[in-house]
Amino acid sequence: MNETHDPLEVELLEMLPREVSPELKRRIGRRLTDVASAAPRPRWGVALAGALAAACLAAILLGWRNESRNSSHQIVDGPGGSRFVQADDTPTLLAYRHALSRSPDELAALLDEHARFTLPPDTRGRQISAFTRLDELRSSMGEL
Amino acid sequence: MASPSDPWPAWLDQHGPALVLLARQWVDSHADAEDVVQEAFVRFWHARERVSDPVAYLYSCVKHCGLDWQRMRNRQTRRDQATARPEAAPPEAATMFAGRVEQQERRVAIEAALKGLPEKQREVLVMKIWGGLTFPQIAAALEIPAGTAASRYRYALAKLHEQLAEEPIL
Repeated sequence: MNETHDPLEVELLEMLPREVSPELKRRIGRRLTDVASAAPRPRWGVALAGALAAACLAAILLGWRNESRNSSHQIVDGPGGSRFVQADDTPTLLAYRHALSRSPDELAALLDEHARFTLPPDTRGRQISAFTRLDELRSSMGEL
Repeated sequence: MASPSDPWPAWLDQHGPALVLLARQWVDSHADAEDVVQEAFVRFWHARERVSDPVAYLYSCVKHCGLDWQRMRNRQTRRDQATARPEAAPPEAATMFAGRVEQQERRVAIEAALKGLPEKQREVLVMKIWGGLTFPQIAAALEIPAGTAASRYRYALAKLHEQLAEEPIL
């Protein structure tokens, strides 16, 4: 581009603004160095905050799961002062009827499953059955 | 022209004097102008790779920091007046430009004429003459059309001519 300058413009161009002081350079250098060395700190902070948030979330979820599990197995007073666990996930009456209509073995399996729910946790690992012998069930069904 | 990949001292060496001169528009002393430039330069340096025109952004940062400084000083002055504290030191005279002693008188006259320019014309003149910015860059820095930047520059020169009419051009 071919620019023509008037004399005043030329005079202004020839005037040099004062140089910046060495002190300003030092201060800027210090500021930029401080910020650069402090930069990883927020990342650590974010990581720590994230870990804490994850731990809190896990604790809340675990607490909620335990609570919901407990709420599905309520202790209920039975006749004669006996207490038993009423579990929401135990087989329904309809399931018993279906099992009985299919075969005695299926009913026995269903009863065993129910028994597992109602026993205390420390006995759940043992081999249990609602009837000691399948014959007993068959005979009781015959009586019915 | 310094590029974004250049180290910060290269940027400061190239633009520092013009930035301080620009900052003098909003502050009274060279020391205060350097404080403004320091703040603006640090702000610019962290954002330089995210802006389309780093040079324009650098000058824009100085303007914003200068205006912030001016507002802060105005508040402080009002507080000082309210508590009847003594006035701050008077502004420095003839400290904007370096040069030979025999040109001192002319320099003083030009500095006085520059200070007498309307703010909007003076900032364009400083960016153009001493910053070496193009009109599109000045337009980007000041968020005005390039044509407006060019006309403000012409008005500024005309006004300086008027004010310096009695002064001999060396």
